[in-house]
Amino acid sequence: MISFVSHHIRADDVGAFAEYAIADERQVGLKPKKLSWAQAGVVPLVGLTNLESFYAAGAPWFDKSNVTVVVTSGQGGTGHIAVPMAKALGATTVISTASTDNVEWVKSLGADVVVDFTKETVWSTLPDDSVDVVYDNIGLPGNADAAMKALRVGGHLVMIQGDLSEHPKDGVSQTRILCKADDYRKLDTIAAMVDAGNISDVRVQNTWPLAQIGEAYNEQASGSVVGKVAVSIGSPPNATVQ
Amino acid sequence: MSLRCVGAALAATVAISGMACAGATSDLPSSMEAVVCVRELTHKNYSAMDDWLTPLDVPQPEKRQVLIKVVGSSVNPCDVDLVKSFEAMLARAFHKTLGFDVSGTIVAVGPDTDGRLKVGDEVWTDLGEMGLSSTEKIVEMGA
Repeated sequence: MISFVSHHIRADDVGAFAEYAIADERQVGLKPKKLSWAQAGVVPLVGLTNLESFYAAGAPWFDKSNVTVVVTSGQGGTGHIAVPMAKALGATTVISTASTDNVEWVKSLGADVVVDFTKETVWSTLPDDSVDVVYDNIGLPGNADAAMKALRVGGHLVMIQGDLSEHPKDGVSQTRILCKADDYRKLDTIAAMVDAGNISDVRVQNTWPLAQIGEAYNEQASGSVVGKVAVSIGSPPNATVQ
Repeated sequence: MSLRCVGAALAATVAISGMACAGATSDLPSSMEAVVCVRELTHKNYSAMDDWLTPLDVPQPEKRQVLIKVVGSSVNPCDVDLVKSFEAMLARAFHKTLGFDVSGTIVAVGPDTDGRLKVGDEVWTDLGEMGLSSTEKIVEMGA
């Protein structure tokens, strides 16, 4: 049996919820200036996960003429970055989902079609063999099989949690991604999307101080976060460069 | 659970004390506050984690490492998984400081870095482990 955490655990005792953190220089990128400190603190893990997932699905797609990408939960922490990223990587059409109140917002992020998931599933709206990529960042039971019906030959299903399909379609790939935080150039790619204005609306639903980390976890675990839950740890130091 | 992971963690713990830095701001404190996984959560109310704030020595960067003064971070789904799951045992065993996402500034640079990053740089990163392929990670996560 495989027990998953949807990210890899460091083998040492270093972590981010501390006033100071150790990092390998190869995994550290320069923060894009257009993002606030809070925004820049919520993007790296989900941004890298999205980028690796799209790469696994054949991105960038600029050499193809008509690429339709489905991103589940466009209002979530992962999805609201993935929708504009898919566009920046050359998707022609992005289809996503949101609750009623967030449909227009997710459209403003770049989605061409946003299905109100309180009324219907995105799968019920997709003709068979009609999409090229499904990036499912939610992984609800049944999603993978439903995605297989919608994907056309040559297409890709990428999941970051939940089960892959036990009935894959011939000619459609399916992959499960655990992102690697091993190359700052991937962060630079995301920073370039921010600098170019492709990713401009990084939503922080709430910010908690380190002393209330438990409340930040409660909010994330509620499962209804729009955007990301941020943790505020320190103020940036004055530039005391030696 | 892989023994390789256990060995690496012990080695890192031993090696972390007393290293010299190649470059650093002059006014670094010796201790800091960190959220350390100290015990199992008995139910899905994470408020008890507020008590996990723990004083730790400020670490010093080793070979090819940098020390970042953290400004912002976030709670990801995997952060929640980590404290409620089987993997939490691994984390607790090594008194792991939680969290992956970082925005902040570099305050010290370790030896043998390539010169790209300097003290004072405004940076972002995901502190996930380096160098494991996805397949290896899946095996390591497996029971």
